[in-house]
This record gives sequence, C-alpha cells and structure tokens, in this order.
Amino acid sequence: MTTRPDTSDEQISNVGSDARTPGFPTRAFPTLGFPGLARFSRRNMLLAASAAAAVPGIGADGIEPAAAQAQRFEYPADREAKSAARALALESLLIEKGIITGNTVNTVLSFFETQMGPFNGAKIVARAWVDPAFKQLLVDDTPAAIARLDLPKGMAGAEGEHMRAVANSPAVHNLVICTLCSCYPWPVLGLPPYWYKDPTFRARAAREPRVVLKEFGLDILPSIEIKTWDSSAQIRWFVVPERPAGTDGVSEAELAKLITAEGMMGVARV
Amino acid sequence: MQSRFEHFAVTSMMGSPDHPPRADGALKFSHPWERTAFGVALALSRDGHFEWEDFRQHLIAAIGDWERRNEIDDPSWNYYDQWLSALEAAVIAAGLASEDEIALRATAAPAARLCGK
Repeated sequence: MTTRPDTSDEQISNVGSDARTPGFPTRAFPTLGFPGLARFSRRNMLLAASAAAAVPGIGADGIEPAAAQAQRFEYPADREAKSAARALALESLLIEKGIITGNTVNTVLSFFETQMGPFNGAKIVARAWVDPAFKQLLVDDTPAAIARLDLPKGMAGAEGEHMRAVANSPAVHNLVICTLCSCYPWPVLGLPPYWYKDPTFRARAAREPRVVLKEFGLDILPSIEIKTWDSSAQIRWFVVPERPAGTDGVSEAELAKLITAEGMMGVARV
Repeated sequence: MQSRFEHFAVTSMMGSPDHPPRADGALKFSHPWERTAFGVALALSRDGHFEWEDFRQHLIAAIGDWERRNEIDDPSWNYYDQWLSALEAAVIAAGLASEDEIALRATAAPAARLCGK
C-alpha cells in the first residue's frame, strides 16, 4: 500500500486514481458488490465520474473558455478562505469566552494523531519481525507483549486489554473482520476504512474469504489456509503480517514504516 | 466498552453518510481550519455543551441543505464545510455564542487574526 499525498485539492486532483477509497484497491471495487457502499462514497465516485466525463463549460473541442476556467478555480479558493476565517473566528470567540482554551484542538487531535492509530500497530509488528521471542509472546499473551513496548498509556488498558494478535506464516493467512466498529482494534489500527463495517463485506469475508481477498488484489495460494477472525467486544484481533523478503538488515524503525493498517487487517500484503 | 469520548464520537459515525474523511486509519484534513472545526466540535460535546447526537443531526441537516442547493457532482463539495455549518448551528443552539457574534468575528479583519496565529 503506497502513501498518498494529502493535498488540499485531493478530491479533485486524484479522481483518476483511487481517491474514492483510500486504502481500497480501485480495480477490485466494482466487483465487490456491497450495496451500501455507493451511498457512503457517492460523492467521490461522482467526482471521479464527472472528471472522466466532460466538465461543464468545456466545448466539443475539449477547450474550456478562459472565463469559465477562472471561475471554476477561483471559487473554491475564495470559499476556503471564508471557511478558514469562520473556523478561526469561532475558535477565537470560544477561547475569549473561556469555553475552550488555545490548546483544546491540539489536545483532542493528539488522541487521534499520536495516541491511537496504526502507527502503534506498526511498532508492535516491527518489533515482532526483529525479535522472535517478542513475536511468540505477542501471539501467546498480546497485552503482556504490548506492555513491554513504549506505547501510549491505555494501549493495553481499557481499550486494548482484549486484543489478540495472530501471525501470518507460509502456511496460514489471517483475515480480521468485525461486526461493530467499536470492536475494531482502534489502538493499533486507527480508524476502520468505511467498507469494513459493511455487512456484505463481513458476510462474504466469513463465507468466501479467498474470493474476497482476491478482489482486494491478494491472491492466496490454494495451499495456504485462510483463517478468518471475527472481532467482538471480548476479543479484538489484529494480524502480524509476514516480514517482506529482502528486508534483512533494515532497522526496526524503517520496518515500521512498511506496515499498513490494511496489512494488519489481513487484506493487504506488506 | 468505550472509554474515550473521542473514540465514541468518531466510531458512532462510521458506516454512516456523515462519517469524516479518513485515509489509512487516520483522519484526513486538507486544511488546518478543518482540524480546528473537528477539534472544537468534539471538545464542546465532550465537555457537555451539547450532545454528540445533536451535533450529528446538525451535520446531517447541513449535508442535506447542501445537496438541495447544489448539483450532486458539484466539485466544490467539502465535508468540513458542512461540519463547520453544523458546528455553528450547535454553538448557537447551545447558547454559547450568537449568530451575530460569529458573523461579526468572521468578517472582522480575518487577515490580522490569521497573521497573529
């Protein structure tokens, strides 16, 4: 899984690629057949369609009149400036009234940006790749292993205490599914992708994991067993992917950068 | 099971049309003001100024308003514009600030405030 640039106009500029569904293989998308998905991603899909088709104002010769072009590109910039002014106005007004402080936004966001997210899972997996004893402990007693790492408080606590790791091997590929997003192993994986909660995905992944994984671009050899783990309020599973070939001598920190949330869900190779 | 309001607030929106944009397990903000609007909304609800569900109803209403006013494929769509409208509505409904106060502040020398940040 590659890292995508997070540009300000991504929704417009990336429509030819996979802007619709971050982390989701575009070419597999139409075949998955999740009825609810069109609704969730309708806007981005429509954006993709509108970019592929003619943009209003573009003539049959494909040339857009300069005035129309100027209008199309100036409007969003103006709107952005207004939105930015409104957001900052609201924040400063609430700070002035003593309702929030200047640190409030950073405090809230630090939870998402530094406390709970796929970077934690990546650190855990990277350690497992370089330390076989740690990997064994991780599979045998996940909270005990996590407690050995310098991770944010709460990782192995209320949210993390039921986490269980399953390791991929040359003989077994693991896939994690869940019924409720509150059962998703948030502390190690971050926010679930939108399709993850779709009942159709879950039902199909449980019934025909090999077919679903193939649609994700993951062709698992028939000789490899696929195990599906259903997360619940009791146990939240995550996958320790296999260490990629050719990474001998790569540092633990560099290895962590290779590890994606999708890899730890079992829907992508690392 | 949910020990953190932040966790509850975001997971409650998962799988719904009003869910926030995200990429690779992280929230996705295209501009700093989007992050500000997100953080302020969560903080105000966490601190009890309004119910999260009330904010979501404002958000759903804002998205519905946008859809009525615009073509469905209008490229000017920005999720956080609707979020900001919902936040303003929730702040006004909670009596934290008046519509006039917010409007005045937003138009009064925004450049100076931006520079001061």
